[in-house]
Amino acid sequence: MARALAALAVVTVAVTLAFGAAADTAIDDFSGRWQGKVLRQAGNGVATGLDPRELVVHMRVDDDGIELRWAAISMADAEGGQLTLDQMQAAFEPTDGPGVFTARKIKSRLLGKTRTGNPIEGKPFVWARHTGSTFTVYTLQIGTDGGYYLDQYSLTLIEGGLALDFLKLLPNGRLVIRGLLERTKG
Amino acid sequence: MRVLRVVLLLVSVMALAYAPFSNAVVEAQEADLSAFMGTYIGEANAVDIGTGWVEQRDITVEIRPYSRNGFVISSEVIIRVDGRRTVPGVKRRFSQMLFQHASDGDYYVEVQKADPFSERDRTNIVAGDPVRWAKIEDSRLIVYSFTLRNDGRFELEVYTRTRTDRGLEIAFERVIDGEVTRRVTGQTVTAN
Repeated sequence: MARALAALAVVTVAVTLAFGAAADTAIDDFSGRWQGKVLRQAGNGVATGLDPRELVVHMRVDDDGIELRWAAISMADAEGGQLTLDQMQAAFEPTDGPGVFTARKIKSRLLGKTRTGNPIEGKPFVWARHTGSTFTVYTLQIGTDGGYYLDQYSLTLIEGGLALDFLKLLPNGRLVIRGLLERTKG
Repeated sequence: MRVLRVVLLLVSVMALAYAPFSNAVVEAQEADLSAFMGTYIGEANAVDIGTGWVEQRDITVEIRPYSRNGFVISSEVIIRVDGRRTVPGVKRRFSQMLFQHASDGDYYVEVQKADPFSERDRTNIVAGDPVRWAKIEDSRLIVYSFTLRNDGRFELEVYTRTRTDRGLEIAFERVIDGEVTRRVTGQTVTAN
């Protein structure tokens, strides 16, 4: 299982390297519906188990900002063989920072539907960054024990698709998830 | 009159029932904090992960109670030049942070010193205001400082001060957008 995951992770990295990231892109280039598989891997290279997820990403870009919808279906987290569905939805508005966006509200399986704000006031802080050919979404939360949860989802336009790098920073380690998505609707 | 007496009796009973519990909670939190109170003097080495550059520092840390169930942490750092502090180019950095217990969890949040002459602004994270909080985990006092940079990358600084028999062990890490860029480790002893 671990070997299979390692092999797939290598393939993912190799594909990303072979095609390379696209040159600087406009944010509009991310618009569309993207679909593919992602694989879970621990940050230190030790596999935590094969967990193929089917991921669908919708991005809509207009003058007001960016709307992002995200749905992941997983078998591995399932209890009693049930499929689990992980969803996230956020609308981003531009800020004064170059290529920097923030979201006022977020909707997800873990957070429910909530307003964003200052993490020390119990609200998640959600922002995004567009640079080169990568669009990255970040969420920061502080738990009731004072620990933090910092998630970083990077989407990079590559030839023929979108490469996903998900990094979860935890006080005592990190988790990396990689994947490849193809455009299914313009 | 009788009604007043009954009300007073009820209030006294409620106060008696509530007091031991609330005192115990506050005392437990203060006991955690009290282990860190003091003045500490020591040395540390800072390593820039990208370049491998090492700096030697003299450090003084002072932790004092602040307000009710809070603390103030002051830190002075002298950055030496080639291991010496009596040559031009020596740098001094001073910082002070005030923390109070969070209302919705077992941690502390940074507060601004009450100043009747200045308006209290709300933290504007997007404009680069830092978000700081602290927690006690066994013998460690951990202070977190999160800042959003103008280019959208984040900076997370984690200061860990571990209580030892002699003083505080110091560890610091700066993470920029997921990558560790700086580490500081050192030792301090309690100053009399």
